[in-house]
Amino acid sequence: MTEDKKPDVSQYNIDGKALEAFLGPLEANTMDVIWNSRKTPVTVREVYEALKKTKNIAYTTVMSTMDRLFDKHLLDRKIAKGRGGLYYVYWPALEKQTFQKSVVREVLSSLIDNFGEVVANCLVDETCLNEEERKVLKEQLNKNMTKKKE
Amino acid sequence: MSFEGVLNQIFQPYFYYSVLFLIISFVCIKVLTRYSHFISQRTKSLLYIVPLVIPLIVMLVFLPSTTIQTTAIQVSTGVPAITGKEILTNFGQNVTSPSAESVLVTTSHISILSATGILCIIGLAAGVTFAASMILADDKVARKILHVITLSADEHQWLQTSIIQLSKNLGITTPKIGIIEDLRPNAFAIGYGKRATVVFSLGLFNVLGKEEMVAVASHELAHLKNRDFFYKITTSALTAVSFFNPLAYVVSSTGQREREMLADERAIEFLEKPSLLGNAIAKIREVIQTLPKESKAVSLSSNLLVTSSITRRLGILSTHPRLDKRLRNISEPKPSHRLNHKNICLVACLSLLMLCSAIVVSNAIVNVQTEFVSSQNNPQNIGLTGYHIVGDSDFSSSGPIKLQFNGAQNMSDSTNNTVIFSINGKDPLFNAQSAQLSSSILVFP
Repeated sequence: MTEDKKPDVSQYNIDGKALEAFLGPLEANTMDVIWNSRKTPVTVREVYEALKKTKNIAYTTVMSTMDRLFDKHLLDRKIAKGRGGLYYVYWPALEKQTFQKSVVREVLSSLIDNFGEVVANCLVDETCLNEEERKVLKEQLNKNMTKKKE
Repeated sequence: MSFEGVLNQIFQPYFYYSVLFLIISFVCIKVLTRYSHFISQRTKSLLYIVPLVIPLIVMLVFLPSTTIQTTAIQVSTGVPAITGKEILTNFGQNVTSPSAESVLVTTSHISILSATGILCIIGLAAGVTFAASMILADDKVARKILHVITLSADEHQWLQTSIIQLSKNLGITTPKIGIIEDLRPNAFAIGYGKRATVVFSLGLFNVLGKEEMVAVASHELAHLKNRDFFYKITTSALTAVSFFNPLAYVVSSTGQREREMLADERAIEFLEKPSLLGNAIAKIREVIQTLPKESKAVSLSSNLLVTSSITRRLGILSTHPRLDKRLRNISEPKPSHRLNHKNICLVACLSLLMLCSAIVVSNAIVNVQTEFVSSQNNPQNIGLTGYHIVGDSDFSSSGPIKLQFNGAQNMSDSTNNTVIFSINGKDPLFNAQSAQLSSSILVFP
């Protein structure tokens, strides 16, 4: 898995849960199946069979979803030769945590670029429990952001 | 096994008749179908079953067994009996015989499977097992091994609609439609009747346009209409019976090539543009050549499971005809299959010529076999040194065996296969220190 590959995720769904905030529901399910798979690389058929256990889904839908995830640099693929002939095998381009870190950083960066101090204050308000901690963190964040702007 | 032993096995009637007739009948049918263009593809393909059936018939006529004659010699003076097995063990050695008053020789015939017979039985068992398992579970096995995924109703609807329409036109039950992940362009049919599935590879979708895909589907449906599943199983099972004969595989492949041509012919009857099938086949062949070849194991398993794959290896064992021949078959108008006087004469002359050739060839080979067997049964080679055979010298026949010890009187026992020699104890030869025993007394082809 390559750490330096940047996933092409251009949207953020405020109502989406976990990965679904960045990916479509089927894309998120597909990535979860591949990340949790004991066997890598995997074929479309293997992902299809795993997804079919929980939802009614068509093979071609899974195939086009995995194609899309490859285009978004979330998956890598190559042609393998085996019992089924020549076929594509896929594996994740990024570890799950690396992916999450990367996309969260992108969203935060975008928010900070657009809303600056508001973002910092909101973050501190959401994460800190006592007043003293909030004060210290806010001062530190504002200093950092001022430096970044300069 | 010695060279003589190998020849002995080959000259088992079952073995040489089955091999010989398979070769002769194949050559005859090949010549007949090659120069008789008025014979339809269906008839041609059915004719190729004949050479494969012949070994089965021969097996029923000449049981694949050989007779072993065992001989026991007992000396009356209390010396332990020498059984046929011991004589065999002692082959080539001198067996000291004591002075004796009488010798009891007992013979018995045992039928056992010859080595070639065992091969035949293995082949027959494999053929029957294969046919039974294919009829019972071909579609399930093929789906599992080839990883076939059945399309749901909303996938590739244009293809599904075309297949439903074509099935109606052909008068067959609409098969299921499946796909495999293979990136090589390919299509094939598995199963039969309601269990039939027409399978397309993902590679085929990439290579062909929609109309060409429908043309390929039409070809596969034609296989279902022609019941090629059963043809395939029949030829494969019969080939298994003669698995030791390389020509059986050639016969089977030749028959299947005729079925391919027949499927092409039937497919284009239901296509608006028959040339589409030719285009599709040409495109597939072109792309296939640029891709790595499938492994032997994959090729073998798919060959056994799949009724007809649109792509197959070339060569003498190919189940598919050459591309140019196939394209010509699709594009050119078919000659009339009706028999006129000229055609009847031609068939009659060809058949007569081939029959005469077959008789001459088989006669020559049977003569070689007869000479070999008679040399094995030569009485001079049979018996104990110092003995010679009088009367009925054929050990393989039942009835009393008369042996005469040189210089001694012989006395036949009334019991079948038993003779008691009254030995004159003063007989010079028997009183010699040894009597050499030959194994040829024991084994008869």
